[in-house]
Amino acid sequence: MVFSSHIFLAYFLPLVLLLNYALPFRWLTLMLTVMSYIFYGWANPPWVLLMLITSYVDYFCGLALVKYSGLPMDGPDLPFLLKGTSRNLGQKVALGVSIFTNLAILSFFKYYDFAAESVNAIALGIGMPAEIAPLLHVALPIGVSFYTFESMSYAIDVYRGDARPLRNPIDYQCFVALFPHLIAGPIIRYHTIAEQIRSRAFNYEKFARGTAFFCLGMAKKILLANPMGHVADRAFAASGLGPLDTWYGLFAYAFQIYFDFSAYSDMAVGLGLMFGFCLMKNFDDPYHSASITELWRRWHISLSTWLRDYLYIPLGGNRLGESRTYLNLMTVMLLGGLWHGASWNFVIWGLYHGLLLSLERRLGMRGIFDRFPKPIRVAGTFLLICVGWVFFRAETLSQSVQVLRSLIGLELTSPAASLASAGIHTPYYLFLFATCALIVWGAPQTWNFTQRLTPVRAVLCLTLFASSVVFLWTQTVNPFLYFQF
Amino acid sequence: MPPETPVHRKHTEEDSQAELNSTEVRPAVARGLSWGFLALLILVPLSQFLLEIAQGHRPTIFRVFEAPLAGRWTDLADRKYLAAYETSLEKSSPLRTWVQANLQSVMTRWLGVGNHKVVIGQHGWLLYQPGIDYVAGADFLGRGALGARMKAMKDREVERDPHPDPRPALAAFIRDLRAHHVAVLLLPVPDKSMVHPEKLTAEASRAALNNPGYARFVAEMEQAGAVVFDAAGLTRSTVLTGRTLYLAQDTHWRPEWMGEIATAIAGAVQRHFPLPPPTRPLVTSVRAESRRRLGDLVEMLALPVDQSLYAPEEVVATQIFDQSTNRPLAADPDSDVVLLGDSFTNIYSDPGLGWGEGAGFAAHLGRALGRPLHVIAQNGAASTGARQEFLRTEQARRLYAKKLLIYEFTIHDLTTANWRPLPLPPQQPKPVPAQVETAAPKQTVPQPTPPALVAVPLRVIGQIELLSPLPVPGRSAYRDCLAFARVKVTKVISGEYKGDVAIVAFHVMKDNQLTDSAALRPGDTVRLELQPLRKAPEIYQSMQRTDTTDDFEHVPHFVIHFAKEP
Repeated sequence: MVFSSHIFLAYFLPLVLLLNYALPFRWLTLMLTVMSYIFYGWANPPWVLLMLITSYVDYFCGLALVKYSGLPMDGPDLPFLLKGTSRNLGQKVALGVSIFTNLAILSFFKYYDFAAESVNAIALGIGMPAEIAPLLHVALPIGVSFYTFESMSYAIDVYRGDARPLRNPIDYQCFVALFPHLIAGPIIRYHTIAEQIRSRAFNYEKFARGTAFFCLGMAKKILLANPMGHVADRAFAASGLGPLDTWYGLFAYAFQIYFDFSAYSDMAVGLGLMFGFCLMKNFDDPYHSASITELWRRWHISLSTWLRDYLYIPLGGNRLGESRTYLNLMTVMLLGGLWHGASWNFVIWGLYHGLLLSLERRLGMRGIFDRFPKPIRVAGTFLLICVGWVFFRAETLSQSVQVLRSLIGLELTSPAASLASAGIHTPYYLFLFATCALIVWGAPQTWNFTQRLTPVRAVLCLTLFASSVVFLWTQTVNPFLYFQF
Repeated sequence: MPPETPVHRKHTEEDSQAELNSTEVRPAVARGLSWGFLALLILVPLSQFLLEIAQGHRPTIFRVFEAPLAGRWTDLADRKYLAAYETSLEKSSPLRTWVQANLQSVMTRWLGVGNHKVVIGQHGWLLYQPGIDYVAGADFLGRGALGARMKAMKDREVERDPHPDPRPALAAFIRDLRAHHVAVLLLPVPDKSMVHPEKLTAEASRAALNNPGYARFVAEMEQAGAVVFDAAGLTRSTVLTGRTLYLAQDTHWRPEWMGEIATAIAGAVQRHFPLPPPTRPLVTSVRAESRRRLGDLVEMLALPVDQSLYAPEEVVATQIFDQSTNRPLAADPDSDVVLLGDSFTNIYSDPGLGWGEGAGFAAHLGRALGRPLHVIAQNGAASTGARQEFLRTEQARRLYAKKLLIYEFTIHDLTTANWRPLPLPPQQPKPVPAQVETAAPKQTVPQPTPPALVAVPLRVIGQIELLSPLPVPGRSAYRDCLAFARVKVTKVISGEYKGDVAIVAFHVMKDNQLTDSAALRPGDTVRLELQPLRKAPEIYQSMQRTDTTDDFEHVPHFVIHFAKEP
């Protein structure tokens, strides 16, 4: 189910809100879990089974971690594992099972075909039979990258002694399946939400803030991201566009992905608040970044935090010397790229960011444009980000190269390019493009805007929400970009 | 060196919690915002619910319980069932329908914005977005484009067996036909944006526009043995003389240009595959008839019924009459020339399309070739549906008597349609060389086996074994659709039916609404009243279809009436 769909807005959300505020607290976790499974299974019911498998493997691994510790398990709550002590073989196996299961599920559904294609291409290149690894055309379960990472974080947190294992499986399932963040994040780490599952407050203040978040997220998605997606789709699909049109399409994509993804995060945070949860901030004015290092503190914060805590630091971080730090950075960004999708384009996108991060670290944690005034630093960084988006958006490596060539005028302009150009140069799209730029660099972000809710702001939120619903009805189904990851 | 810039501090989970728990809002504002939001949320379902109750209808919201109440609990785990329910909720919302139409009207009138199908051109012209995407898009045979289309087809899940690349299916089809001594002429009909790009933008090139992959496509088809008629080149050179060849608000060609293309095709046929004289000389007469209606692109905009933005467009179509019968020239299944096509073939002959009858492409082409044609044309389904129909046994048995197959399809089908390879049926007809080389006297043409149906009305009870995918209302090319099913016949109630398998076609989408037959599922036992599809009303012959039965043996039947058996 999609937040911006008719069935979610008109039926599912009112129903879950009604249940949430009508049932006693002790029933809420179960209710939210069941409704989250309905939410998730709506697109493809059998995928719920996959999520259940993941959840229960990690849940039992959490129990095993305590059991093999020898700590007492008879209290109302299971104990924390002691920090700073070594773990025994049973505990290591339990953690290994959790990590292996999650990575195996992720690898099979997300990377099998990509690996098979690559193996076949290599085989063909060295004269072997063309299809030594059969393609399975496996459908990617929505949100699998998000919930496997979240579920894995539970076992790791318990293993490290950062979180208390759960006795009640329903509580655990609720953490994994909680529908506001289920499909496209923010990636919630178990220890940050554990207490909220057991106890959370409901009040008008929270609900109103959640409403404001949701309304603004919806407006970002419907009024800005989707029209920019139309422009970007046309520009990326076109053949032989001129440089100006290509830049226009690329910037439109930069706006689309930001408004689309941050819209989802805003709606997730908003829904979380309506149900009493405080989820984490996922975007912090990313296009205000004056360096790539800064970008990764502002963009998809929950993913970069996850990668830092569960990958970069365990790899040694910056503690093992300069060259090892660069290697760790490249490894983390490469895997971060692959996390987004199984294609060489994502590998290159990840390496590109890893390279820029390493370069900035080499320059002493300063941006490449550090000698220039702030507006130029921000503009330069935005251009670097956009060059990366070419690989992120293009279907293939050859298309990426073609777009890059178009950007600098090396591609021949096609006679038919005027048709693509005419379709995206209408006053409507140009106006929205300018509005996006104005909001990105001139308007307060959702977190700040909703921090102080005046009557005018409240009316603005409701008006934007109503307008978004109305415009939604003229648009076709347009799921969030991050659903595919 | 400037001082080091402090790097932005990363926001933490603790920061988020602190920020979210410190909202400045007055209690009255918080209440107003919360309740206002809830009111907006329930406005849509509540208005629909009350209206349906007031009209005495069963509220749509309860439809999700129909399957479990009927004992079909497993349907709740069927994504198609859930998707159909979701669509029915959307489509049946009166508030949504009203707002959508009126907002589209405002956006079209004041902002010049169409929708995902329609692009607003200049001077009242409308263009078809998938057509523009084809022309302006990257090489449609490129690996990236094919991969993206494959992914899109899988995501849509309308096609069970997606084939985005048209070449394998077409090349195999051409080779199969050539093996039966049937020549093939392909007629990719140009999209409107290729013909009249100046109606979209004044900066349009005067050069012929086409997708970069088209030349490769033509070369491969010619290598497979087909002749590809260059309608795009001819059309573009003609339009540069100042003529208007396509309808302003419709995706299709104007009737006079369609007639000229038919004449040009006849010329090409004479050049490439001279046909023997027809068995029966065709004498025709013509009659001009004026027709007036709103184009299909206006309908795709889904404006209010009483919209005044677009006035009906008028054309003068030329009807072709067979003087021997004094009736509009009809198709002849025994003709040595067969025309496969889509709505470009049907536009002036299919009453369902609203532009009149008797003046279609087949009639004009038949007149130009001096013989009636065997016509199989399905709206929106030239890529696979028309071939499927042609390959059904009853048709395919006529194959050896054919000399030429003309395959008309819309050029943007190359990037939007599913091109499933369909091998010829296993029972090959006996070759009759003399008949292949010369005109096939009508009396020597072996007739297809009599259909299984020998009495009407035919009523059977059977169990559905396989159902073709459902069309998605509002996202299909046309408002009506037939869906095919394979039924295991368990009992013949009346009439006579030989065999225990029937291929049946349900009218599954009518005027962009799924009909009751859309609720049927494999495993359901149904009581059916049937008639052979070819004897069903003409409107069903050319209707858009979804058919994944891959059954070319059984004569397809049209479901006149059905009822589920307990």
